[in-house]
Amino acid sequence: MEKKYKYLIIGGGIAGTSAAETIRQNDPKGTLAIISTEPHLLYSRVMLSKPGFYTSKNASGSAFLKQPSWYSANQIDFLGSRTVIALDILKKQVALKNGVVLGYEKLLLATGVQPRSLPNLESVDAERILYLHTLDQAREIERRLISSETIVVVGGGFIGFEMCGLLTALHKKVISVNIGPRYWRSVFDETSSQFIKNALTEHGVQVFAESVIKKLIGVNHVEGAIISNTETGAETKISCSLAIAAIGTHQTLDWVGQAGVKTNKGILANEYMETSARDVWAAGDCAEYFDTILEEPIVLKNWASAKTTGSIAAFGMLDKRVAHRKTTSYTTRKLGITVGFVGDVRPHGKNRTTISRGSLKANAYAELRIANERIVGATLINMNNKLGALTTLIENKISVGGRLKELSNPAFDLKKLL
Amino acid sequence: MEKKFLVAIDAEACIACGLCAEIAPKIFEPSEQMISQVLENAEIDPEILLKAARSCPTKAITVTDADTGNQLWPE
Repeated sequence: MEKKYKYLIIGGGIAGTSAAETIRQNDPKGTLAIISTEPHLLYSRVMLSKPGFYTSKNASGSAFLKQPSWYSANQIDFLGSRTVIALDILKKQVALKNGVVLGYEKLLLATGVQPRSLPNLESVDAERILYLHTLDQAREIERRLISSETIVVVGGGFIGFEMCGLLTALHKKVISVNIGPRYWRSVFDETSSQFIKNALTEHGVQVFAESVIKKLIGVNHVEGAIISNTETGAETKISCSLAIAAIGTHQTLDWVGQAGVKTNKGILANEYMETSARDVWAAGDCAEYFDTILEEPIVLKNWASAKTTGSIAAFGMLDKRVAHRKTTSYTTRKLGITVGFVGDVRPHGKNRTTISRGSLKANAYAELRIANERIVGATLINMNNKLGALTTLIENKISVGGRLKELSNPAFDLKKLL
Repeated sequence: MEKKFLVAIDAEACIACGLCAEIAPKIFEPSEQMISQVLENAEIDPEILLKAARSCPTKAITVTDADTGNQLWPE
């Protein structure tokens, strides 16, 4: 074993770094290391899908949130470009791909997620598809944008929408290819999806629904693509010079599961972010933790949740256990609309119903998720002025039983329920 | 003498995550849209102010030393 750390954190993103920060505020001396597959210090993944990143004179620099001096001043060993391949929870060791074995007293798994690769593409095509998840990938997109006028974006979810919005803002011609019949179909109903489609088409984005990229055209560079409709089989040839895929994320939990740490959709953790293994915590996008407000397990993949769960895990590692109790939200403004999310936006689940509020005609629409006579989450389009009230309703577990009809009335003031 | 700071929030960049108001509730408060805004009678503790500004994932909060004009965050 090369070295043993009191606190070992796997993952250099916001969850892992937030944990390191919390640990250092409470324990200035305990040895601490962050292992990261990426070479970079903490940067904002959120900024990678904002036009400012691509228009800034110092695009890469503008995304960094921590400088090397922060790590050295806090005596944090940042072990970048290293991949963990095995965990031994009995010996309390992790093995790295480069052969190094590191010991720990307290371990945090904040390994994040990875973008899904486009399936069914020939290998030569697959190599030419770009993804937006890491800083290096964003740099590659930034570099390629200079010589690209028309870009095809594959994926009808959040990042796909973000990509279309930012490319449109950068005055690029954008073609959107979505395998589903509608946008954001895992979260949105037909009306919400229609808002997205309308926003795209009104800003000149060419939309292909129920379609996939069958083949990229061009030898050394992408010159076009064959888009195939999954329902009719009809094929359309388009010209484009860049193809970007954003079809969701997944996580590789093999070595975590093999170590005996329980996993499901993520690494299972309780409200203290403690996993099933002694002295092992999980935080951020990789964690499926027990949400005390929802009263059920959840995987949340947003910045505020990652930061909060990282900090909560750190308190546990410091033997100062605190339970998670927070409702997170985030918004985006793109293509002339604002989209907001608060709490648990999953449309399906135990005892779960959705109440819709507003309409396309009114240019404002919300889907309120109800479970056990409480609001547990909401999606909001052009209705962010309800975010504050909804956050309070969710966090305080206020019963809305008997008020469901009023909730669907856009004129009804949600603050009356507080 | 008490140090003074200029705090500016880029509302367009704010993603309404609420972290700044959580870290510095005596300085920031969320609007109805959850967009962060500086309290009228903010009680500014420099350390907490900078910690809150640094927590913003879009660097929407700019902190400037009012006396020197030096921008403290983003660096």
